[in-house]
Amino acid sequence: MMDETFINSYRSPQLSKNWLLNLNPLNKINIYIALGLITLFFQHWQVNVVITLVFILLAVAAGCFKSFIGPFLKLGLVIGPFFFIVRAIFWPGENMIFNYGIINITQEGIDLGIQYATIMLVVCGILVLCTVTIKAEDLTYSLEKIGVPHNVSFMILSSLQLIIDLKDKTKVIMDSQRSRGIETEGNVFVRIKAFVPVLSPLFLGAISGAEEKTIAMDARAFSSANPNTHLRFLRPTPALEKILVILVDILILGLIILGVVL
Amino acid sequence: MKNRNMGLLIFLIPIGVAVNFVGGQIAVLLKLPLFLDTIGTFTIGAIAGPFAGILVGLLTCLSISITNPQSLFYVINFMLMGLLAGYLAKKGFFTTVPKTIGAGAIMGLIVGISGSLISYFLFNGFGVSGTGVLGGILMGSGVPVWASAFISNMSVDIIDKVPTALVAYLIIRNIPQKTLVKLPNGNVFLNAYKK
Repeated sequence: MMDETFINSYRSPQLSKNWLLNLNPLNKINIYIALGLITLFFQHWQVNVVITLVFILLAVAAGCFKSFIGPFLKLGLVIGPFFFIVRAIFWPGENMIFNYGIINITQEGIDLGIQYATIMLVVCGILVLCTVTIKAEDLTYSLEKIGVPHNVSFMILSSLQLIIDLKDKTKVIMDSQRSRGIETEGNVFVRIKAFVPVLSPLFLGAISGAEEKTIAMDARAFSSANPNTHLRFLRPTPALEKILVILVDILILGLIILGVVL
Repeated sequence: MKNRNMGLLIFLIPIGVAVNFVGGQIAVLLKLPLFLDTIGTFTIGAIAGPFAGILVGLLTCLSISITNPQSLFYVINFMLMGLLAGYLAKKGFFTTVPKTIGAGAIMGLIVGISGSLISYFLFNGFGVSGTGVLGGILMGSGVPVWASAFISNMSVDIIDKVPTALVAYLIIRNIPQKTLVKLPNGNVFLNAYKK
């Protein structure tokens, strides 16, 4: 019974219960980037904070707040303060607040730091929201629908898979090279010498595997010029969704024009 | 025949992306003072041509930016490295150790210039990692903003790219000849090894 429902799930478009997750991936990216673009036209850090909050709300609306907030805080709390601190400490300016040696805190530096830190929060928000609300295979499917060749889809998907595979292999190779007596600890030169014996088996193994895969994939008509079929497919974009995306874009464009004029 | 070569390229590009990622991680695991996160771009660019190199760079940048959003702004740098690796390999760099060091230095220089331009115009001259702190210290000690952006970015890039090029050379050296034959830039290496 279990197997049957699993198989049947591929007979209809892949949909979830959430309306936001069901949007076409390209439309999602469109909305996120349009929101992000607002930051470029308003030079106020308050605007950036509001947009970051909008991203958090979007994550809540998509029902993936839990998977969003963890990576977002991890990234944001490292990058935001970093951008703030280097500018606050080092940026040269007129209104000196504190000066000791090379540390030179000025009002201009602090303003600049806050602005860049909040812009980076927006960037982190866009990226994390993309990773939690968009599945890579859905993205490549919708790219194919607008005419990107299927080779590109394959490259993107297999890159993501290979990163995971090679990470696992790295551990194995490192352990086995260590057991053969290659030192991986000690001073810098010892450690640099250990780099090549770890990386080159990994790389060469992957390259020779690629050749075998080429033959295997050719035998399965990968290079055939006929139209492809898809196991997973998405629903055709409903008219309402198209209208929504266009409305959001117009609204944001209006905001930007308003901001520039004012 | 052309189609089959294309097939191999499609498999090599993901490998380049994954090796960039893993190489950077091994460097962290071994606590090396270098990034070494562009070995895949260098190697695939060198053996499979500039176009493949550009694609590796682009895909690497996109997949790295998930964990490291600042690198998204340096996407041109990632692609430039692939392009340069492919172009220099075609001209016969990457076939001997001295030439490889030269190639690494040239690439470090060019990438350093473009990197510091990006840092200067997008990030007020501060790099986005350790280079930012270095640039900041220079600014704090009175060096003008543009100069500290250039010095901090260039020095880090040249120090990082020369070892990267050397590792790429060692790997290319060990690729079996039967594989090199099928690659766009393979004949350059095969002719050089024959001598």
